Amino acid sequence: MTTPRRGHALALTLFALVLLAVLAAAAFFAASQDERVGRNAVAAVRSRSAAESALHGAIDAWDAPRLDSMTPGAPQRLAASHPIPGSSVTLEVRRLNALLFLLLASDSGKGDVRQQAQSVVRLAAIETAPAAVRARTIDASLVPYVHGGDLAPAGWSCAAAPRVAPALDLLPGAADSVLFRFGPWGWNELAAWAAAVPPGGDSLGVRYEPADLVLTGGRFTGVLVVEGNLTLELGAEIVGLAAVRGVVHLRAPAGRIAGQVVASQVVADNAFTSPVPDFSWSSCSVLMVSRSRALPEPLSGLPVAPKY
Amino acid sequence: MSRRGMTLAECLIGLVVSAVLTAAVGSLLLAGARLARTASAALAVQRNVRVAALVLRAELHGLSAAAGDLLAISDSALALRVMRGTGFLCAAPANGAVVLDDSLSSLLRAPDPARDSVLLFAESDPSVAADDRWVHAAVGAVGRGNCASGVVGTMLSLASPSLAADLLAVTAGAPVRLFEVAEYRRYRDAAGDWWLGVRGPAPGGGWAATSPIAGPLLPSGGLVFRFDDSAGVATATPARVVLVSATLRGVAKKAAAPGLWPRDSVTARVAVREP
Repeated sequence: MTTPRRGHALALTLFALVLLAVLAAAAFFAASQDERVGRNAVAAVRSRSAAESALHGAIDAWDAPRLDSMTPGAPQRLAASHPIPGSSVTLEVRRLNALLFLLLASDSGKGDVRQQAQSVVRLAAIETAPAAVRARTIDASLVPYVHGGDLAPAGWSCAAAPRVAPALDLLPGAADSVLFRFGPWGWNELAAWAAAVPPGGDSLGVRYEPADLVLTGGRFTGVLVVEGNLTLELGAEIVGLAAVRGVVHLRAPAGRIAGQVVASQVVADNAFTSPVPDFSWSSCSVLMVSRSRALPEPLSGLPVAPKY
Repeated sequence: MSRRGMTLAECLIGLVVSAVLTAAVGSLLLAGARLARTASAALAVQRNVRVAALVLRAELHGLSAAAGDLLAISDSALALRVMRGTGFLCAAPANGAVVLDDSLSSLLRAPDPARDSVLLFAESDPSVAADDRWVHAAVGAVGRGNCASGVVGTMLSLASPSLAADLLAVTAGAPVRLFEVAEYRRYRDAAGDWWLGVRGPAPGGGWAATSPIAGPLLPSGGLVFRFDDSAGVATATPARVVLVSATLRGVAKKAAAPGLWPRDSVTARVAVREP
């Protein structure tokens, strides 16, 4: 026979169980919130890395002829090269002015995470000391035909202000490292760049000649880099920059260069009557042709930054 | 035969068992409450130092040490140009003012003439990169102005000693960095607690009052800045800094239990990137 008993054990047990359940639920909630915060933080970092990586990829895969044809204003979409797996990046480029471009990358990561990063790049155009002819020596008979007035080639428009320069920049006995100095580049850097530029693509070419070169008539527009000697004959014309490690020979009928010649020597192979040779300094043509295939460099003092 | 009531022995045993159970549950509850208090205080400290680290990380992001963004450095304070955004000129400067293309601007907040300055990219000779520089000017007034395209943008009237000459080298499309000067530092409040605080320049020179960001911090080593150069060696030269580390050690505002002061620490490292 059972005896009815009264006590508090059940109530106390239930109370303790409820208390433990509440504590466990609170701990679980706090832990899940922390986990969610951590997951979001990781997703944000991944997304930002994907956006910044796309910016660097765009600089590495710079399509110089195509992008140099852009005008300031309207943006262009670019394909992200080597995107990070799992990322969803959109990339666009906008020309700011003659030399500056704005790159903007947006990545939509997991969940609502979206990160944007931007970078400004400057085209690293070939830098030259202003002068129509820069050489160790030039034949005296040619000096009257060298002009330092800064003129744009006919039909060209340049935003840059004209820079009147000395006609001649003569450096007798100068070492190659001094004569062939193009801003941060020496001859080897210039030659490596010119040799690496693929031919074609626009009207402003880059031509690298590992030996001697003879131009017979016609017109070359762009950057000409010659390891040997360059001969201009039958009125051959160069618009842009001619960098010649050896000697530039001029043969009648006279040739013409609108831009700049940098060479070891410039010699006349014969006397000229009419037409006479013409060496004219043109900062416009030098800048335009060297810029057309120039590669971009991040703008100094403006790191890759998040876009707000 | 039915029995009513309990014997004395039963009552005594019941009382003793109840007392033991009550004591056990009570101590369990007290321990739980103390644990909850301690955990809560520890979480608060952790949250505090984490937030402080996030603030510092955000403020240091996008700095250029080579451009002079780090103004003064020490192990307990860091004065710097805090970037508030980037914009681009939609027209050449005119009459000492510039107009930003609003569609390209990336600003954390609207420009504030009371505390903001700008750095404008000056191209100078486009065929030479070595002469490029950043022109510094204070923001005198903010308004609306016309871009070259006719679109209306944000106009900043500028002030600097050599503004007219400096602006000659600034062209349309030039990037503009908007910043304010601030100093992040360890300081002690009136109650004797140590804090991470921030202060800006006072209108008449010197520094304005410090505003608290996070604290309390440990009295010793509560906030320690470290600045490394590219070789990984600590440096005191702002322009050579490539890595900024800020270690924060927080402590609870009051003891969670007698003698128990929850504390936590976090180190934020930010690479000062130079393109």
